[in-house]
Amino acid sequence: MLERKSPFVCSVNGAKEISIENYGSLGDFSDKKIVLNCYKCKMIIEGEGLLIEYFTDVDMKITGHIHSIHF
Amino acid sequence: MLFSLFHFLSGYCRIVLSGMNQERFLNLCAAKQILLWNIKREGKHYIFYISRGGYKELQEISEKTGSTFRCIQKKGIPYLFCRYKKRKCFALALLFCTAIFIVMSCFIWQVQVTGSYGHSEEELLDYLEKKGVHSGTKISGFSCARLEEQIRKDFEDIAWVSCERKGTLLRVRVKETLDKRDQKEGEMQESPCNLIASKKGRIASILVRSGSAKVKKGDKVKPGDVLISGIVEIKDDEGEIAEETLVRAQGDVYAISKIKYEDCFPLIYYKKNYTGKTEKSYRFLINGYTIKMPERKTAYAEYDEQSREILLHIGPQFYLPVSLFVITKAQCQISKESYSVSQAKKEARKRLFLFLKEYERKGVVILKNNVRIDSDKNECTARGIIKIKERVGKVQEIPSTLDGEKDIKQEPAVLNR
Repeated sequence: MLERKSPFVCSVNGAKEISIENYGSLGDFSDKKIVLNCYKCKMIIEGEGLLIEYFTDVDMKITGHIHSIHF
Repeated sequence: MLFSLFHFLSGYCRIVLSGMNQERFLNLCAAKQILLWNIKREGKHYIFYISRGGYKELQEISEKTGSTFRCIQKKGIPYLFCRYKKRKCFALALLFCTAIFIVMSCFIWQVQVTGSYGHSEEELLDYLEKKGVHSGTKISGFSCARLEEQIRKDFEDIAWVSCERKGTLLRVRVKETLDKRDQKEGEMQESPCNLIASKKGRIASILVRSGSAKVKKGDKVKPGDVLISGIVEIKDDEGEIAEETLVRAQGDVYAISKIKYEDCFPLIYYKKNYTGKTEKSYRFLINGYTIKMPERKTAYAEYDEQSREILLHIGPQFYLPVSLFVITKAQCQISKESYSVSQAKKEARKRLFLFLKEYERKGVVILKNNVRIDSDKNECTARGIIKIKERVGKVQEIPSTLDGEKDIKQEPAVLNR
Protein backbone atom coordinates (compact mmCIF):
# COMPACT_ATOMS: atom_id res chain seq x y z
CA MET A 1 0.00 0.00 0.00
CA LEU A 2 1.34 3.45 -0.91
CA GLU A 3 2.03 5.94 1.91
CA ARG A 4 -0.33 8.88 2.26
CA LYS A 5 2.60 11.26 2.50
CA SER A 6 3.90 10.32 -0.89
CA PRO A 7 2.75 12.02 -4.07
CA PHE A 8 -0.23 10.72 -5.93
CA VAL A 9 0.05 8.78 -9.20
CA CYS A 10 -2.32 9.85 -11.92
CA SER A 11 -3.04 8.01 -15.23
CA VAL A 12 -5.09 9.71 -17.89
CA ASN A 13 -6.64 7.63 -20.72
CA GLY A 14 -7.66 10.09 -23.41
CA ALA A 15 -9.98 12.78 -22.19
CA LYS A 16 -12.54 10.40 -20.75
CA GLU A 17 -10.86 8.51 -17.97
CA ILE A 18 -8.49 9.29 -15.16
CA SER A 19 -7.18 6.91 -12.49
CA ILE A 20 -5.60 8.31 -9.37
CA GLU A 21 -3.68 6.37 -6.75
CA ASN A 22 -2.85 7.71 -3.32
CA TYR A 23 -5.14 10.70 -3.81
CA GLY A 24 -5.63 11.64 -0.16
CA SER A 25 -9.25 12.59 0.32
CA LEU A 26 -12.23 13.87 -1.61
CA GLY A 27 -12.75 17.59 -1.25
CA ASP A 28 -15.65 18.51 -3.41
CA PHE A 29 -17.58 16.58 -5.99
CA SER A 30 -20.09 17.64 -8.57
CA ASP A 31 -20.72 16.53 -12.12
CA LYS A 32 -18.67 19.48 -13.41
CA LYS A 33 -15.85 19.69 -10.88
CA ILE A 34 -14.00 17.29 -8.58
CA VAL A 35 -11.52 18.55 -6.00
CA LEU A 36 -9.08 16.10 -4.47
CA ASN A 37 -6.91 16.96 -1.48
CA CYS A 38 -3.62 15.34 -2.30
CA TYR A 39 -0.29 15.47 -0.46
CA LYS A 40 0.95 19.07 -0.53
CA CYS A 41 -1.43 20.10 -3.30
CA LYS A 42 -5.00 20.17 -4.51
CA MET A 43 -6.04 18.54 -7.71
CA ILE A 44 -8.99 20.04 -9.57
CA ILE A 45 -10.60 18.12 -12.38
CA GLU A 46 -13.12 19.98 -14.48
CA GLY A 47 -15.36 18.60 -17.12
CA GLU A 48 -18.88 17.41 -17.87
CA GLY A 49 -20.80 14.38 -16.67
CA LEU A 50 -18.11 13.44 -14.19
CA LEU A 51 -18.69 10.20 -12.35
CA ILE A 52 -16.54 8.32 -9.85
CA GLU A 53 -16.48 4.79 -11.22
CA TYR A 54 -14.95 3.34 -8.08
CA PHE A 55 -13.67 4.85 -4.86
CA THR A 56 -11.48 2.99 -2.41
CA ASP A 57 -8.95 4.06 0.16
CA VAL A 58 -6.09 3.43 -2.25
CA ASP A 59 -7.30 4.55 -5.65
CA MET A 60 -10.20 5.94 -7.56
CA LYS A 61 -11.31 6.27 -11.15
CA ILE A 62 -13.12 9.21 -12.64
CA THR A 63 -14.91 9.01 -15.97
CA GLY A 64 -16.70 11.58 -18.10
CA HIS A 65 -15.69 14.43 -20.42
CA ILE A 66 -12.57 15.87 -18.85
CA HIS A 67 -11.80 19.43 -19.91
CA SER A 68 -8.92 20.30 -17.61
CA ILE A 69 -6.81 19.08 -14.74
CA HIS A 70 -4.95 21.63 -12.67
CA PHE A 71 -3.15 21.81 -9.42
CA MET B 1 -18.45 -8.35 -16.23
CA LEU B 2 -16.83 -10.42 -13.49
CA PHE B 3 -17.13 -7.43 -11.19
CA SER B 4 -20.90 -7.24 -11.88
CA LEU B 5 -21.32 -10.98 -11.45
CA PHE B 6 -19.45 -10.98 -8.17
CA HIS B 7 -21.55 -8.17 -6.76
CA PHE B 8 -24.76 -9.78 -7.95
CA LEU B 9 -23.84 -12.99 -6.17
CA SER B 10 -22.89 -11.23 -2.95
CA GLY B 11 -25.64 -8.57 -3.07
CA TYR B 12 -25.40 -4.75 -3.31
CA CYS B 13 -27.46 -1.63 -2.58
CA ARG B 14 -28.02 1.76 -4.13
CA ILE B 15 -27.72 4.54 -1.57
CA VAL B 16 -28.80 8.19 -1.63
CA LEU B 17 -26.65 10.34 0.64
CA SER B 18 -27.86 13.69 1.84
CA GLY B 19 -27.30 16.07 4.72
CA MET B 20 -24.06 17.52 6.02
CA ASN B 21 -20.44 16.55 5.41
CA GLN B 22 -21.19 14.25 2.54
CA GLU B 23 -17.61 14.29 1.24
CA ARG B 24 -16.38 13.41 4.74
CA PHE B 25 -18.82 10.51 4.73
CA LEU B 26 -17.34 9.25 1.46
CA ASN B 27 -13.79 9.67 2.75
CA LEU B 28 -14.61 7.74 5.91
CA CYS B 29 -16.07 4.91 3.77
CA ALA B 30 -12.84 4.81 1.81
CA ALA B 31 -10.76 4.85 5.01
CA LYS B 32 -12.76 1.86 6.34
CA GLN B 33 -11.98 0.09 3.02
CA ILE B 34 -15.61 0.04 1.98
CA LEU B 35 -15.79 -0.06 -1.81
CA LEU B 36 -18.14 2.44 -3.40
CA TRP B 37 -18.80 2.63 -7.12
CA ASN B 38 -20.71 4.64 -9.71
CA ILE B 39 -20.79 7.70 -7.46
CA LYS B 40 -22.58 10.66 -9.01
CA ARG B 41 -23.92 13.93 -7.83
CA GLU B 42 -27.59 14.71 -8.34
CA GLY B 43 -28.55 18.10 -7.00
CA LYS B 44 -27.68 18.12 -3.33
CA HIS B 45 -27.36 14.37 -2.99
CA TYR B 46 -24.83 11.73 -3.79
CA ILE B 47 -25.99 8.45 -5.24
CA PHE B 48 -23.71 5.46 -5.20
CA TYR B 49 -23.58 1.67 -5.00
CA ILE B 50 -22.21 -0.23 -2.05
CA SER B 51 -21.81 -3.89 -1.22
CA ARG B 52 -24.13 -5.64 1.24
CA GLY B 53 -21.33 -5.97 3.77
CA GLY B 54 -20.38 -2.30 3.49
CA TYR B 55 -24.00 -1.18 3.91
CA LYS B 56 -24.03 -2.58 7.41
CA GLU B 57 -21.28 -0.20 8.46
CA LEU B 58 -22.83 2.97 7.06
CA GLN B 59 -24.88 3.69 10.16
CA GLU B 60 -21.79 4.26 12.26
CA ILE B 61 -20.25 6.56 9.67
CA SER B 62 -23.51 8.44 9.29
CA GLU B 63 -23.63 9.10 13.04
CA LYS B 64 -20.07 10.40 12.92
CA THR B 65 -20.56 12.80 10.01
CA GLY B 66 -24.15 13.80 10.63
CA SER B 67 -25.24 12.92 7.11
CA THR B 68 -28.22 10.77 6.31
CA PHE B 69 -28.46 7.92 3.88
CA ARG B 70 -31.31 5.97 2.42
CA CYS B 71 -31.28 2.68 0.52
CA ILE B 72 -33.35 2.97 -2.64
CA GLN B 73 -32.55 -0.36 -4.26
CA LYS B 74 -31.34 -3.77 -3.12
CA LYS B 75 -30.10 -6.24 -5.69
CA GLY B 76 -28.40 -9.61 -5.70
CA ILE B 77 -28.91 -13.26 -4.78
CA PRO B 78 -29.14 -12.78 -0.97
CA TYR B 79 -31.95 -10.25 -1.35
CA LEU B 80 -33.66 -12.45 -3.93
CA PHE B 81 -33.74 -15.35 -1.48
CA CYS B 82 -35.08 -13.08 1.25
CA ARG B 83 -37.84 -11.84 -1.02
CA TYR B 84 -38.93 -15.34 -2.04
CA LYS B 85 -38.17 -17.24 1.15
CA LYS B 86 -41.87 -17.77 1.77
CA ARG B 87 -42.35 -19.29 -1.66
CA LYS B 88 -41.06 -22.73 -0.76
CA CYS B 89 -43.11 -24.49 -3.41
CA PHE B 90 -41.50 -22.38 -6.10
CA ALA B 91 -38.05 -23.29 -4.86
CA LEU B 92 -38.98 -26.96 -4.63
CA ALA B 93 -40.46 -26.94 -8.13
CA LEU B 94 -37.28 -25.31 -9.44
CA LEU B 95 -35.15 -27.95 -7.76
CA PHE B 96 -37.42 -30.70 -9.07
CA CYS B 97 -37.21 -29.37 -12.64
CA THR B 98 -33.44 -29.14 -12.39
CA ALA B 99 -33.29 -32.71 -11.13
CA ILE B 100 -35.56 -33.88 -13.97
CA PHE B 101 -33.36 -32.18 -16.56
CA ILE B 102 -30.24 -33.71 -15.10
CA VAL B 103 -31.81 -37.18 -15.12
CA MET B 104 -33.14 -36.75 -18.67
CA SER B 105 -29.77 -35.70 -19.96
CA CYS B 106 -28.56 -39.23 -19.14
CA PHE B 107 -30.68 -40.73 -21.90
CA ILE B 108 -30.80 -40.56 -25.69
CA TRP B 109 -34.08 -39.03 -26.83
CA GLN B 110 -33.50 -38.47 -30.53
CA VAL B 111 -31.76 -40.66 -33.11
CA GLN B 112 -31.01 -39.18 -36.53
CA VAL B 113 -29.76 -41.18 -39.51
CA THR B 114 -28.38 -39.35 -42.54
CA GLY B 115 -26.52 -40.19 -45.72
CA SER B 116 -28.28 -43.44 -46.57
CA TYR B 117 -29.80 -43.96 -50.01
CA GLY B 118 -29.82 -47.71 -50.47
CA HIS B 119 -31.33 -48.33 -47.06
CA SER B 120 -34.29 -46.33 -45.84
CA GLU B 121 -34.06 -44.34 -42.62
CA GLU B 122 -36.73 -46.57 -41.05
CA GLU B 123 -34.69 -49.67 -41.90
CA LEU B 124 -31.62 -48.30 -40.16
CA LEU B 125 -33.64 -47.08 -37.18
CA ASP B 126 -35.20 -50.56 -36.83
CA TYR B 127 -31.72 -52.07 -36.97
CA LEU B 128 -30.51 -49.69 -34.26
CA GLU B 129 -33.53 -50.55 -32.14
CA LYS B 130 -32.69 -54.25 -32.41
CA LYS B 131 -29.19 -53.39 -31.20
CA GLY B 132 -30.69 -51.62 -28.22
CA VAL B 133 -30.19 -48.04 -29.41
CA HIS B 134 -33.43 -46.05 -29.52
CA SER B 135 -35.21 -43.17 -27.87
CA GLY B 136 -34.92 -43.76 -24.13
CA THR B 137 -31.63 -45.66 -24.18
CA LYS B 138 -29.25 -44.83 -21.39
CA ILE B 139 -26.16 -43.05 -22.64
CA SER B 140 -23.90 -45.20 -20.52
CA GLY B 141 -25.54 -48.33 -21.96
CA PHE B 142 -23.95 -48.19 -25.38
CA SER B 143 -20.72 -47.21 -27.03
CA CYS B 144 -20.49 -45.21 -30.24
CA ALA B 145 -17.34 -47.02 -31.36
CA ARG B 146 -18.91 -50.46 -30.88
CA LEU B 147 -22.05 -49.38 -32.71
CA GLU B 148 -20.00 -48.14 -35.66
CA GLU B 149 -18.22 -51.48 -35.82
CA GLN B 150 -21.48 -53.42 -35.75
CA ILE B 151 -23.02 -51.36 -38.53
CA ARG B 152 -19.95 -51.78 -40.72
CA LYS B 153 -20.03 -55.53 -40.10
CA ASP B 154 -23.75 -56.02 -40.74
CA PHE B 155 -24.10 -53.76 -43.78
CA GLU B 156 -21.68 -54.68 -46.54
CA ASP B 157 -22.60 -51.74 -48.70
CA ILE B 158 -21.87 -49.15 -46.03
CA ALA B 159 -18.28 -48.02 -46.48
CA TRP B 160 -18.09 -45.42 -43.73
CA VAL B 161 -20.17 -44.79 -40.64
CA SER B 162 -19.91 -42.21 -37.88
CA CYS B 163 -21.90 -42.26 -34.63
CA GLU B 164 -21.79 -39.01 -32.73
CA ARG B 165 -23.59 -38.22 -29.52
CA LYS B 166 -24.26 -34.59 -28.64
CA GLY B 167 -26.44 -33.95 -25.64
CA THR B 168 -29.43 -36.25 -25.97
CA LEU B 169 -29.10 -36.47 -29.75
CA LEU B 170 -27.42 -39.42 -31.44
CA ARG B 171 -26.43 -38.69 -35.04
CA VAL B 172 -25.54 -41.61 -37.29
CA ARG B 173 -23.99 -40.66 -40.60
CA VAL B 174 -23.33 -43.30 -43.24
CA LYS B 175 -21.65 -43.32 -46.60
CA GLU B 176 -22.51 -46.18 -48.94
CA THR B 177 -20.32 -47.92 -51.48
CA LEU B 178 -21.72 -48.64 -54.93
CA ASP B 179 -24.59 -51.11 -54.55
CA LYS B 180 -24.52 -54.53 -56.19
CA ARG B 181 -26.66 -53.39 -59.13
CA ASP B 182 -24.27 -50.54 -59.86
CA GLN B 183 -21.34 -52.89 -59.39
CA LYS B 184 -22.90 -55.27 -61.92
CA GLU B 185 -23.47 -52.43 -64.32
CA GLY B 186 -19.92 -51.37 -63.80
CA GLU B 187 -18.77 -54.86 -64.66
CA MET B 188 -21.06 -54.90 -67.70
CA GLN B 189 -19.54 -51.68 -68.90
CA GLU B 190 -16.35 -53.58 -69.42
CA SER B 191 -17.86 -56.78 -70.82
CA PRO B 192 -19.10 -57.18 -74.43
CA CYS B 193 -22.78 -56.63 -75.00
CA ASN B 194 -25.47 -56.01 -77.60
CA LEU B 195 -27.87 -53.12 -77.76
CA ILE B 196 -31.41 -54.45 -78.05
CA ALA B 197 -34.76 -52.74 -78.53
CA SER B 198 -36.60 -52.01 -75.31
CA LYS B 199 -39.93 -51.41 -77.06
CA LYS B 200 -41.77 -51.69 -80.32
CA GLY B 201 -41.30 -49.00 -82.96
CA ARG B 202 -39.93 -47.90 -86.31
CA ILE B 203 -36.30 -46.83 -86.47
CA ALA B 204 -36.01 -43.09 -87.03
CA SER B 205 -32.23 -42.77 -86.76
CA ILE B 206 -29.27 -44.89 -85.77
CA LEU B 207 -25.78 -43.74 -84.88
CA VAL B 208 -23.27 -46.47 -84.12
CA ARG B 209 -20.22 -45.71 -82.02
CA SER B 210 -19.15 -49.26 -81.41
CA GLY B 211 -20.37 -52.60 -82.77
CA SER B 212 -22.22 -53.37 -85.99
CA ALA B 213 -25.67 -52.07 -86.88
CA LYS B 214 -28.29 -54.72 -87.47
CA VAL B 215 -31.15 -52.36 -88.37
CA LYS B 216 -31.46 -49.28 -90.52
CA LYS B 217 -33.76 -46.28 -90.72
CA GLY B 218 -37.31 -47.32 -91.43
CA ASP B 219 -37.04 -50.86 -90.03
CA LYS B 220 -39.72 -52.04 -87.67
CA VAL B 221 -38.46 -53.53 -84.43
CA LYS B 222 -40.06 -55.27 -81.53
CA PRO B 223 -38.79 -55.67 -77.95
CA GLY B 224 -35.71 -57.87 -77.82
CA ASP B 225 -34.54 -57.27 -81.41
CA VAL B 226 -30.83 -56.61 -81.71
CA LEU B 227 -30.21 -53.06 -82.88
CA ILE B 228 -26.42 -52.89 -82.58
CA SER B 229 -24.53 -56.13 -82.25
CA GLY B 230 -21.46 -56.51 -80.12
CA ILE B 231 -20.11 -59.18 -82.46
CA VAL B 232 -18.04 -57.54 -85.16
CA GLU B 233 -17.28 -59.79 -88.13
CA ILE B 234 -14.00 -59.34 -89.91
CA LYS B 235 -14.21 -60.75 -93.46
CA ASP B 236 -11.34 -61.92 -95.60
CA ASP B 237 -10.71 -61.12 -99.29
CA GLU B 238 -13.18 -63.74 -100.38
CA GLY B 239 -15.92 -62.25 -98.30
CA GLU B 240 -16.00 -65.02 -95.73
CA ILE B 241 -15.93 -64.40 -92.05
CA ALA B 242 -12.36 -64.81 -90.89
CA GLU B 243 -12.68 -63.53 -87.41
CA GLU B 244 -15.27 -62.31 -84.97
CA THR B 245 -14.50 -59.72 -82.36
CA LEU B 246 -16.58 -59.04 -79.27
CA VAL B 247 -17.06 -55.40 -78.36
CA ARG B 248 -19.36 -53.41 -76.15
CA ALA B 249 -22.09 -52.12 -78.53
CA GLN B 250 -22.63 -48.39 -78.18
CA GLY B 251 -24.77 -45.99 -80.08
CA ASP B 252 -27.87 -43.80 -80.22
CA VAL B 253 -30.95 -45.43 -81.67
CA TYR B 254 -34.16 -43.47 -81.92
CA ALA B 255 -37.47 -45.04 -82.85
CA ILE B 256 -40.92 -43.72 -83.55
CA SER B 257 -43.64 -45.40 -81.58
CA LYS B 258 -47.22 -44.78 -80.64
CA ILE B 259 -48.73 -44.56 -77.22
CA LYS B 260 -52.38 -44.89 -76.47
CA TYR B 261 -53.78 -42.12 -74.31
CA GLU B 262 -57.09 -42.46 -72.52
CA ASP B 263 -58.51 -40.26 -69.82
CA CYS B 264 -62.00 -39.98 -68.43
CA PHE B 265 -63.47 -37.91 -65.60
CA PRO B 266 -67.00 -37.00 -64.49
CA LEU B 267 -68.37 -33.54 -65.09
CA ILE B 268 -69.67 -33.27 -61.56
CA TYR B 269 -66.99 -32.53 -59.00
CA TYR B 270 -66.76 -31.28 -55.46
CA LYS B 271 -65.02 -28.00 -54.81
CA LYS B 272 -63.69 -26.88 -51.47
CA ASN B 273 -64.02 -23.19 -50.65
CA TYR B 274 -61.96 -22.23 -47.67
CA THR B 275 -63.52 -19.60 -45.46
CA GLY B 276 -60.19 -18.63 -43.91
CA LYS B 277 -61.25 -19.62 -40.41
CA THR B 278 -59.05 -22.07 -38.60
CA GLU B 279 -59.02 -23.81 -35.27
CA LYS B 280 -55.98 -25.22 -33.56
CA SER B 281 -55.71 -27.98 -31.07
CA TYR B 282 -52.68 -29.47 -29.39
CA ARG B 283 -51.49 -32.85 -28.34
CA PHE B 284 -48.36 -34.00 -26.61
CA LEU B 285 -46.63 -37.22 -27.45
CA ILE B 286 -44.45 -38.37 -24.56
CA ASN B 287 -42.42 -41.45 -25.40
CA GLY B 288 -45.26 -43.05 -27.35
CA TYR B 289 -48.13 -41.90 -25.12
CA THR B 290 -50.50 -39.24 -26.43
CA ILE B 291 -51.87 -36.58 -24.11
CA LYS B 292 -54.73 -34.54 -25.55
CA MET B 293 -55.09 -31.00 -24.36
CA PRO B 294 -58.66 -29.99 -23.50
CA GLU B 295 -60.34 -28.51 -26.52
CA ARG B 296 -63.72 -27.35 -27.60
CA LYS B 297 -65.73 -29.53 -29.92
CA THR B 298 -65.30 -28.18 -33.39
CA ALA B 299 -68.12 -26.03 -34.69
CA TYR B 300 -67.21 -26.65 -38.31
CA ALA B 301 -69.37 -29.01 -40.29
CA GLU B 302 -66.72 -29.47 -42.96
CA TYR B 303 -63.04 -28.91 -42.55
CA ASP B 304 -59.57 -30.00 -43.63
CA GLU B 305 -57.30 -31.23 -40.92
CA GLN B 306 -53.55 -30.89 -40.98
CA SER B 307 -51.17 -31.91 -38.24
CA ARG B 308 -47.59 -30.86 -37.71
CA GLU B 309 -45.12 -32.43 -35.32
CA ILE B 310 -42.65 -30.26 -33.43
CA LEU B 311 -39.88 -32.04 -31.56
CA LEU B 312 -39.21 -30.14 -28.36
CA HIS B 313 -35.60 -29.41 -27.58
CA ILE B 314 -33.53 -26.94 -25.60
CA GLY B 315 -30.78 -25.68 -27.82
CA PRO B 316 -29.60 -27.70 -30.82
CA GLN B 317 -28.63 -30.85 -28.89
CA PHE B 318 -30.76 -31.31 -25.79
CA TYR B 319 -33.76 -33.14 -27.20
CA LEU B 320 -36.64 -34.03 -24.93
CA PRO B 321 -38.81 -37.15 -25.25
CA VAL B 322 -41.76 -34.89 -25.92
CA SER B 323 -43.31 -33.92 -29.25
CA LEU B 324 -45.96 -31.31 -29.72
CA PHE B 325 -48.60 -31.95 -32.37
CA VAL B 326 -50.34 -28.87 -33.68
CA ILE B 327 -53.58 -29.85 -35.39
CA THR B 328 -55.03 -27.16 -37.61
CA LYS B 329 -58.62 -27.44 -38.80
CA ALA B 330 -59.39 -25.18 -41.74
CA GLN B 331 -63.07 -24.64 -42.29
CA CYS B 332 -64.26 -25.22 -45.84
CA GLN B 333 -67.51 -25.40 -47.67
CA ILE B 334 -67.85 -28.23 -50.11
CA SER B 335 -70.00 -27.36 -53.03
CA LYS B 336 -71.11 -29.59 -55.82
CA GLU B 337 -70.12 -28.08 -59.11
CA SER B 338 -70.36 -29.12 -62.67
CA TYR B 339 -68.01 -28.45 -65.55
CA SER B 340 -69.53 -26.83 -68.58
CA VAL B 341 -68.60 -28.41 -71.93
CA SER B 342 -65.86 -25.87 -72.57
CA GLN B 343 -64.56 -26.10 -69.00
CA ALA B 344 -64.45 -29.90 -69.21
CA LYS B 345 -62.51 -29.77 -72.46
CA LYS B 346 -60.13 -27.25 -70.94
CA GLU B 347 -59.57 -29.53 -67.98
CA ALA B 348 -59.00 -32.52 -70.27
CA ARG B 349 -56.46 -30.50 -72.29
CA LYS B 350 -54.70 -29.52 -69.05
CA ARG B 351 -54.42 -33.16 -67.99
CA LEU B 352 -53.11 -34.13 -71.43
CA PHE B 353 -50.55 -31.33 -71.25
CA LEU B 354 -49.27 -32.60 -67.90
CA PHE B 355 -49.07 -36.13 -69.28
CA LEU B 356 -47.03 -35.01 -72.29
CA LYS B 357 -44.83 -32.77 -70.16
CA GLU B 358 -43.83 -35.77 -68.11
CA TYR B 359 -42.75 -37.61 -71.26
CA GLU B 360 -40.84 -34.60 -72.56
CA ARG B 361 -39.01 -34.37 -69.28
CA LYS B 362 -37.65 -37.85 -69.97
CA GLY B 363 -36.29 -36.72 -73.33
CA VAL B 364 -39.12 -37.95 -75.54
CA VAL B 365 -40.09 -35.84 -78.58
CA ILE B 366 -43.81 -35.57 -79.28
CA LEU B 367 -44.33 -35.80 -83.02
CA LYS B 368 -48.08 -35.91 -83.36
CA ASN B 369 -50.97 -35.63 -81.02
CA ASN B 370 -54.18 -37.21 -82.24
CA VAL B 371 -56.09 -37.09 -78.99
CA ARG B 372 -59.75 -36.31 -79.32
CA ILE B 373 -61.69 -34.80 -76.45
CA ASP B 374 -65.41 -35.53 -76.22
CA SER B 375 -67.84 -34.43 -73.59
CA ASP B 376 -71.40 -35.55 -72.89
CA LYS B 377 -73.84 -34.91 -70.02
CA ASN B 378 -72.04 -37.06 -67.47
CA GLU B 379 -68.38 -37.29 -68.32
CA CYS B 380 -65.59 -36.05 -70.47
CA THR B 381 -63.26 -38.46 -72.26
CA ALA B 382 -59.99 -37.90 -74.04
CA ARG B 383 -58.78 -40.68 -76.28
CA GLY B 384 -56.23 -40.95 -78.97
CA ILE B 385 -52.83 -41.97 -80.21
CA ILE B 386 -49.71 -39.94 -79.60
CA LYS B 387 -46.76 -40.43 -81.88
CA ILE B 388 -43.44 -40.07 -80.11
CA LYS B 389 -39.79 -40.33 -80.93
CA GLU B 390 -37.64 -41.69 -78.19
CA ARG B 391 -34.42 -43.42 -77.54
CA VAL B 392 -34.78 -47.17 -77.54
CA GLY B 393 -32.02 -49.55 -76.70
CA LYS B 394 -30.95 -51.38 -73.68
CA VAL B 395 -27.82 -53.34 -72.95
CA GLN B 396 -27.82 -57.10 -73.23
CA GLU B 397 -24.78 -59.01 -72.16
CA ILE B 398 -23.37 -61.40 -74.73
CA PRO B 399 -23.12 -64.81 -73.06
CA SER B 400 -19.60 -66.26 -73.21
CA THR B 401 -19.34 -69.01 -75.88
CA LEU B 402 -18.08 -72.42 -74.88
CA ASP B 403 -17.13 -73.65 -78.41
CA GLY B 404 -13.54 -73.18 -79.49
CA GLU B 405 -14.30 -73.36 -83.22
CA LYS B 406 -14.39 -69.69 -83.79
CA ASP B 407 -11.56 -67.57 -82.64
CA ILE B 408 -13.52 -64.90 -80.81
CA LYS B 409 -11.39 -62.09 -79.51
CA GLN B 410 -12.47 -59.57 -76.98
CA GLU B 411 -11.21 -56.11 -77.75
CA PRO B 412 -11.86 -52.64 -76.43
CA ALA B 413 -14.78 -50.87 -78.16
CA VAL B 414 -13.96 -49.39 -81.56
CA LEU B 415 -16.04 -47.26 -83.87
CA ASN B 416 -17.48 -49.40 -86.63
CA ARG B 417 -17.92 -47.45 -89.83
